[in-house]
Amino acid sequence: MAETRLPQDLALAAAARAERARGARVAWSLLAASPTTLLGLGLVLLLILTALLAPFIAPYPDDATKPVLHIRDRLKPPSWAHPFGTDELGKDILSRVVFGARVTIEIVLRVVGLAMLIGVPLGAMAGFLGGWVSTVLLRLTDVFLALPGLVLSIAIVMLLGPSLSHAMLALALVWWPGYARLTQGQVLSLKQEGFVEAARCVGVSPSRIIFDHILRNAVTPLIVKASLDMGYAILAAAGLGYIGLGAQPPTPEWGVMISKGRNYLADQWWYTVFPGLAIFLSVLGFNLLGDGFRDMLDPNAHGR
Amino acid sequence: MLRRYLLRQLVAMLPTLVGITLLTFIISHVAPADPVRFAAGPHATQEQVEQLKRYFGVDQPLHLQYLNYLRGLLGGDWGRSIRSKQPVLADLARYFPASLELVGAAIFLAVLLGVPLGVVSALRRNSLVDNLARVVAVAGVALPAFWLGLLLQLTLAFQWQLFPAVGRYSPELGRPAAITGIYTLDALLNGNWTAFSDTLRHLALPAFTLAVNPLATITRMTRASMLEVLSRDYIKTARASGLAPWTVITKYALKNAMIPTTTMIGLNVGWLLAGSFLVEAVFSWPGIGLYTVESSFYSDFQPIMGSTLVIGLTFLLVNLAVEALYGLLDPRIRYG
Amino acid sequence: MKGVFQRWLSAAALAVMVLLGIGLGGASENILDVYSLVDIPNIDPGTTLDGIGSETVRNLYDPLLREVGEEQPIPWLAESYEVSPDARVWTFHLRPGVTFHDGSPVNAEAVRFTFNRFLTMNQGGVAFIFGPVMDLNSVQVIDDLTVQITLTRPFGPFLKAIPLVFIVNPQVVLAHEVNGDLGAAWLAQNEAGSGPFVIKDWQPGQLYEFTRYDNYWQGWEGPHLQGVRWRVTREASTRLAAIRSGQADRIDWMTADDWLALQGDTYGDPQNFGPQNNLYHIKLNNQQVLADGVTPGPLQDKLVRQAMSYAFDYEALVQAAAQGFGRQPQGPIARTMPFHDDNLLIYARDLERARSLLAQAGWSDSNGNGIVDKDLNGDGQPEPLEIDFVFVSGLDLYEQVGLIFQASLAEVGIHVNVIGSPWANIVGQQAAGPAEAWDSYYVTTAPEFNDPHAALFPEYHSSNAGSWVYGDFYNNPQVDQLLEEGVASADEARRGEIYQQVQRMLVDDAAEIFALEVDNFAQDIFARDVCGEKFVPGPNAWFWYGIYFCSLAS
Repeated sequence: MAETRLPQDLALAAAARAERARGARVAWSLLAASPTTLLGLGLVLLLILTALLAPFIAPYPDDATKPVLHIRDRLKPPSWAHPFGTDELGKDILSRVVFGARVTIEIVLRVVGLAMLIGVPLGAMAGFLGGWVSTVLLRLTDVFLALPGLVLSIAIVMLLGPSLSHAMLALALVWWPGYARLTQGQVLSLKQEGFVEAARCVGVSPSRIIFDHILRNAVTPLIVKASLDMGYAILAAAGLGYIGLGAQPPTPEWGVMISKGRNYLADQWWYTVFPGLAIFLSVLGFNLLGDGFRDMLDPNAHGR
Repeated sequence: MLRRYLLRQLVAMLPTLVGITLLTFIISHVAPADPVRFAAGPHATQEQVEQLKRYFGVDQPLHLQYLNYLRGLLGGDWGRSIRSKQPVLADLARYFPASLELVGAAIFLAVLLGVPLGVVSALRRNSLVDNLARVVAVAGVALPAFWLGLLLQLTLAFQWQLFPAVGRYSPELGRPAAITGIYTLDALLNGNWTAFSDTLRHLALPAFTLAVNPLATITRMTRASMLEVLSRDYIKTARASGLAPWTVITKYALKNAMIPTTTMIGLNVGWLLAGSFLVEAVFSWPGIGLYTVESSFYSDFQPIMGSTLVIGLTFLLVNLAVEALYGLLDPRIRYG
Repeated sequence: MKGVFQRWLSAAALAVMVLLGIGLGGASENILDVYSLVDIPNIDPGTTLDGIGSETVRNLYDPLLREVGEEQPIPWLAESYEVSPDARVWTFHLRPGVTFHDGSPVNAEAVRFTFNRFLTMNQGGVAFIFGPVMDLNSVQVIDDLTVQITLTRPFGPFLKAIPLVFIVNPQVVLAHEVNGDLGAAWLAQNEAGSGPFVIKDWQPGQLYEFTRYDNYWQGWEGPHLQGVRWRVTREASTRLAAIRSGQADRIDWMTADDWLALQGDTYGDPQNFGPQNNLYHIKLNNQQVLADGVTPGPLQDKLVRQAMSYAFDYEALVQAAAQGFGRQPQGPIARTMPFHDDNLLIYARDLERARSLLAQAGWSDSNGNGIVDKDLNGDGQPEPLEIDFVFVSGLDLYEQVGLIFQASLAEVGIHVNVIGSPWANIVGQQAAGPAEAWDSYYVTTAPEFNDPHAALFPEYHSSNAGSWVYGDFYNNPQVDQLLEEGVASADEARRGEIYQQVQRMLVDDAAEIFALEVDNFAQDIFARDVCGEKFVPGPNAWFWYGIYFCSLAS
């Protein structure tokens, strides 16, 4: 690929790379200076580690992955044998919370990933081409934004049948317009920037301009939005789980666990508290991280 | 200028609204559900189900059903619920004001707390206050709303009996005479202070629970835009010219910084109308979110379509109002 | 800045003071506060039969005879009745002086109107029960207080079913007719009855208030409620907290766990939680076909269904769902039902038996993956014994049943996929026929009246294809014929023989898994101060007229 590049193009790319490298160094120093962002990073890392090491941490992996019952141990309070207590079928809640980290990461990546996969190219296209493409996209996103996301999600899940992957698909279908709008806006403003004009003048192809120049520079707000959305994805999946349209049994999904446990809120507090805490810390992590990113990458916000 | 712009935007809404009805119609008909048979009960014969389908007009081909629906919409007939046989418009007149009250109160709380918190965070950037505000705001979002609601209900309403646990009013005191359907407002209009206090107390817990999420976004948004505005030259000039810091902040900085915040508020109104259903379920608040979700569960087509349309329309109108507000906040903005 | 904060603070303090300033409303008077999971979408006595609508109907309207859980229904609007020797002509003599809520008299014409209304509307509900044996000429007005019903053919459970017909006020109904709907839309949320209570306020999705009808013909001597408040309360933990804090006098849809947690505080009258006619079934699609649409599925094989019946862990279900306050059923109807066969085979859990039945049916674990398999479509590739179980999304008890089903069948090498789906979808898919229907699902049935016809006919007679209670798609011409004979006969001894034979055939065929029979305690939990009325298994609903507060009675 590289040999087909024009010299001017190479120079531009090099400049952009240098800019990014400087950006990364600045970012790290800013990160180190912001305790809340560090906390967010730590929480997200904790989530990832838990997911990776789940089989080694969980005392009873079968309770989280296999159809088993321990009716005699149902709803036992926390003890040495079951540090987080047991649920209404006698399953170990600690094991389920630990394995739930895997499910959570899957939700987060698939919902946000899919929404970006649909939204970003559409938004970029609309922003770059303008004209009727942009009008059509605007109207379409209008419809999706004005339509209550919940109705859409429920309808999709009712059509395809309740399951975690359908719930994730539904959420992605509800969320893509956000990414399309954001990308389109970024592309519109970047189109006017000098380095894009320069690339266009020297005859770089439109698709290369979109991918090499514009999207790379539009990535910052996308990262911020994505990291915040990752937190919301966990909550949205929990909301669908609450009405029985999310993960199906026996998948150890935190949202489903706390929505089931809410029937036992008064007398079996441990059932909701531990998965609730897990959700809380994960969403907190993604949000603090996203918030920190936004702060770091916002050029206006540097210094006072 | 503004009037012509708004008119044009209103006309441009029409295709969006038609798009909403079409999309809702399609998605509510593709599920393999059979709401009529459900309504007919477990023992209905095929013949009885057919009879009921004729009653509701759902025996016709789909495209005719859709056209009939659109024609009905224009004529003020929004169809009927299959489950309760009640006209959708009458249902909406009941559920929508309840939602407006709840969402309005939640947004009000969120702005009341969020804007000052955001301003302080921006002014004392990276201070203890800023970091604390950030953690508190973000922590609020990180709790699933239904869980937070249940916890508040169990403690504040049942344990300490500070607030009523469920519903919109105390039946012992009676319901304020309906004018708008927004009970707190109705009580005020009637000059009925007992009812006002009673309905306000019923509103408190659900509104607070619902406010937590927008509170976080509004705080963060206000902080970010304040930071941006504060770095502008005209603020520096104003400060340098010796204006009182308080005047600079409220008169110049905050006003300009409110534009993104206002946008955020507008978007939130739309999201909360349907998204509040979890909170509505916990506090037995008969809002449109719950109405929509329960109708969806039974594939009760026309209530789904009616409520989606109302929510969509509110969303569009609120955002149009937000755009109109931009002009007030920043006179330089022109509506082209 | 500081000044602003102070202003904010004082505003906030003021708000809190306004909110807390006025104490809670006066303690509840002589009114029963019901905190219920369920909303009341339809109270038209001509179209609603099941669930909560019917409890409301029972208290707003009066029937000719009332079911009180005794051998026969007792006289109510009808003082007495006679029947012809062939059991086809029934004559009812109405009680004089009874008035509807608008003051107009309850007369023979009202009875005729009531029957003809639901027969004409023909929208399920009671029309299902009486439609096959009546036409528009069946009810004749003899005089103002005498009405004669002539059946088109004998109907064995007629007397048991009469309490389901609630007499409506013709003038009020016709005054609210729209487009010839016989008042269907209006009556769905309003009433035109003569019962002990009237609607005071109707706030759908939220709060329904009922109050006494002062001129009720039974009078209000002795202890009675002044009214009932029905609050829709969707969260179980809210309802639990409401009865604990004394705000609720009755809550419903609770679990055995809740009941045990409350045991010390609540109404401990044992008649409140005696046996009932409800039965919990795991329906098995007896006409299951594989994905190709033609190959008979494993559930068509009686041996496989028997193996499942032996493998299911009934004890776990009794523990999980009922904390021990229940038992494995004996056959397809509850033990409390008339004509129950006490000698029926019970499939007690026996894994060895289950495995040998599977082996006998040709199933073995040929690839060693723990799931038995068999070549069903003759393509040389064995199909694993794998079935889907669907439960109603959000109903945790149903989901638990699925997980128990899954875990207990796994022990004999049968794989069960547990899937949740919204109720309306399940209903739609069952209506689409055996090829589209689910392999298995869990349903509770509560017969509308205390006769095996009400329990057996809808569930096992092949004419019910399309209804979700006919989830087995059980198609046995002999059973069909027996069920038809049973309902058409007025000879009690003969009916007994017929229904016992049907029970034996259903058990031998293992038409489904007869999963659980549970005592009525969890459906409704009353506060300790609530006295009176005992639970009647037939209607599965409470008659508020008989309920009162113990503390107000003395």
